[in-house]
Amino acid sequence: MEITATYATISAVPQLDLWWVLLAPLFPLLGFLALALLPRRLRNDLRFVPVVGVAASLAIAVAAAITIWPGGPINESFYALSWSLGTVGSLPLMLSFSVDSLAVIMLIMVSLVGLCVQVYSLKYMKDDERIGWFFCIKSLFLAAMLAFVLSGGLLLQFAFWEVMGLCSWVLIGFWYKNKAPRKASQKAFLFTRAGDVGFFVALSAVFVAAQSFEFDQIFATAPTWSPFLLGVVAFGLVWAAIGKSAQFPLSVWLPDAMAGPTPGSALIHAATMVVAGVFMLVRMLPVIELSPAAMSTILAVGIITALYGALLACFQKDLKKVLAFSTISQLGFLFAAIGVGSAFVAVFHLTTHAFFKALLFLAAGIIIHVTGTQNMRKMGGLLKRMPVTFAVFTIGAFALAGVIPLAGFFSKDEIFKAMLYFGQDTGQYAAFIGVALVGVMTAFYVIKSWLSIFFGKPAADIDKVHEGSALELAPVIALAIPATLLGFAVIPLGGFLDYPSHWPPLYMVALSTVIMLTGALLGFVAYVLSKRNAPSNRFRFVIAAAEQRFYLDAFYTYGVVKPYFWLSKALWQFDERVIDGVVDAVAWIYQKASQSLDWLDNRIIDGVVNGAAWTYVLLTRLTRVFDVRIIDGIVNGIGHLSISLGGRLRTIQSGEVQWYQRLVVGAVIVVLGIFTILYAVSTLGGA
Amino acid sequence: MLVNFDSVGLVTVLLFAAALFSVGLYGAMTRKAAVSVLMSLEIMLFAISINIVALAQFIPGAQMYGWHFSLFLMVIGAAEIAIGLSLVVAIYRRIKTSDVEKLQVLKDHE
Repeated sequence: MEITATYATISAVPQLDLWWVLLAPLFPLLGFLALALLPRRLRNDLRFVPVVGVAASLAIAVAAAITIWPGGPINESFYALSWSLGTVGSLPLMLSFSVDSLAVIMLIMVSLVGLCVQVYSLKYMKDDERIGWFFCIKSLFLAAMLAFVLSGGLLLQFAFWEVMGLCSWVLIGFWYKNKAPRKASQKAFLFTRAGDVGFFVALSAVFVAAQSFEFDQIFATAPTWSPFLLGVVAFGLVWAAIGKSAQFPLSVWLPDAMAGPTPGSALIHAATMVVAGVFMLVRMLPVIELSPAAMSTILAVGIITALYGALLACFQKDLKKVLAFSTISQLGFLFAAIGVGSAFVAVFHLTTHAFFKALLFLAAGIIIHVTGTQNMRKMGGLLKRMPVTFAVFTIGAFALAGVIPLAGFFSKDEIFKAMLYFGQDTGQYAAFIGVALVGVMTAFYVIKSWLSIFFGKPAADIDKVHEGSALELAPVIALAIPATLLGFAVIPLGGFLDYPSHWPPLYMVALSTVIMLTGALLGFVAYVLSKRNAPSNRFRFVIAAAEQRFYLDAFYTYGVVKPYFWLSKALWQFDERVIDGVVDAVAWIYQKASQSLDWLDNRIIDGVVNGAAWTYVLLTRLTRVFDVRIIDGIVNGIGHLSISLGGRLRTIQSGEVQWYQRLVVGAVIVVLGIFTILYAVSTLGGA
Repeated sequence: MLVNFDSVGLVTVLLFAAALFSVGLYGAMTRKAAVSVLMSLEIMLFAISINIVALAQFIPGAQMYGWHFSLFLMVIGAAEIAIGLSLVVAIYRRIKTSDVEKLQVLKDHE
């Protein structure tokens, strides 16, 4: 295998020898490999090993950021390592890793969130008998995600994309003994797989069009592709991202994925894996931008998903479900930002969202542990009991709602601004109105949930409730720092990605604060009303529709799953009626034929046979005397021998097929061993 | 379109096929569920298929016969699995389980 470090011939950024950045995915991978093969007890005891692994990755990521400072444009790599896997026809099949500014930002984000979640899990999952396996899988996931962002080509990206899907499946179904996690993991796996079909189609089209999977060559040749291939690639990738990032209409798997352990949800289904789709679109933006239809689709999907997720989050009683729908809605924002071509805005909100949403999930995990419920109506009055959790949850919640000056405010503001500019350029303000509405709804559900968790009348068994442990709170507090301060980094972060970012203009600050306050006020009113009155019946049908998640799940059940069963049943009935009918008819004819032959047999053949038999009986009586005396003596001797021998041999006759199989394999191994020894002896003798 | 993996080497491929065969053999000997046993058998079959293709690729003068044979093996595999599955269904109807460890009618009961 030939490995070469290649440097782009024309590049705006300096070429550095950054081979050590590629060690970032290696450490979590080693953490996984070290633990995966150990027995369970030992693995549980060594669960700190993957934590050390991801800490090393974080150190590498920070060092990489310092080395490449002041950054460079997205997709301009500072260092690339490529090697050839072989040839396809006459074309080399290249794989490569490359380091650019975007990859470094993602490295820091993923390893920081990963480290916080791993440390948090040390305490949170302490009582689980398979905690070692939990750390193992999360470590594999982190390795895949870090390698994914460093991939220099679509093929390698796809490979790590699939590894992440596998880890997600394992983690959702981590408590596989219960039915709900099992079903949720299958659902998530199948829905993301439906999206991956798009990735696969796009991969094929890319290789036809660019004759390579490498990003450099894809971007260089993309303007010359035929419109058909371009469309296939763009829409295939968009469909893949819709599946991975839980966008409408493939969004239904994400809320169910909350059946897994909370730290897993925080890492995979809020902060990192679900943004892989968005990251891939940002990477491939130079290609997707060439197809205006694909861009409009991304924008429309993003706005619809943001509205759908935010609207459903307003109706949830379950704390984790609120966060899940909120994640869907925020991912819709990221899509919308890509849809108007603002890669930086998408990356900025992606990063801030990762921090504050991971924070919210981890804080929610503490609350769920101490209260023993996920239902927010059974919480209340937690403020005095757990002040530290209250403080960090408030930071996360307010960042999500977009309260100035938290990180979420700045990044959401960038999205509002991008939509407003898009409206000014094209005269279409629907996108802006959509995101503004989502902003109102976000503040609404955030404030309503926040009030009902921490304020009001305490729940009945409040005495048991206490503050979370230090080991759980420390990572949450660590996440609160970027969730608070990252917004102020808008200019350096823009500079790092070579994007001219500015402070939000004053009228945008005012506008988004008005949007936030409107939602917050409505949320407060809704909270007060829900405390005072019984829920009104007037909106019953809306609530019913929301509880069914606007029938999207029902659509898949009745539109895809049930018809499949009907088809199977119809085929089964065909088999039962037609095929079996033919078989029965043949049997009936055969039976009739046998009956007529039977008659012939009784009358004629039997007469002949009986006559012969009588003759034979007479002869036999004569030979009997000889037989009993002599032959039987010999036979009985042999019989006794056989019985005693058989009694021993029949212990190996267990009746189990696999036991016989093991005997055969054992025998083969013995015979092979004998032959090997004979061969060795003859060779040595010959020499 | 021929994929040329010359750089990998015959021994690597044969070792891989041997590893795959061992996985299948282990599965066939240890899995309880009859369907898993059938899957293990298929894994073994395809390990053989990989061997054939690899030898056809690496041994000079072997031409394309090995490749054709591997296609033939796939068809045989499909037929075999169809028979196997129908046996599993028949067994299940008779004794209401597909656990091969429960299949002990050949045992001498006394």
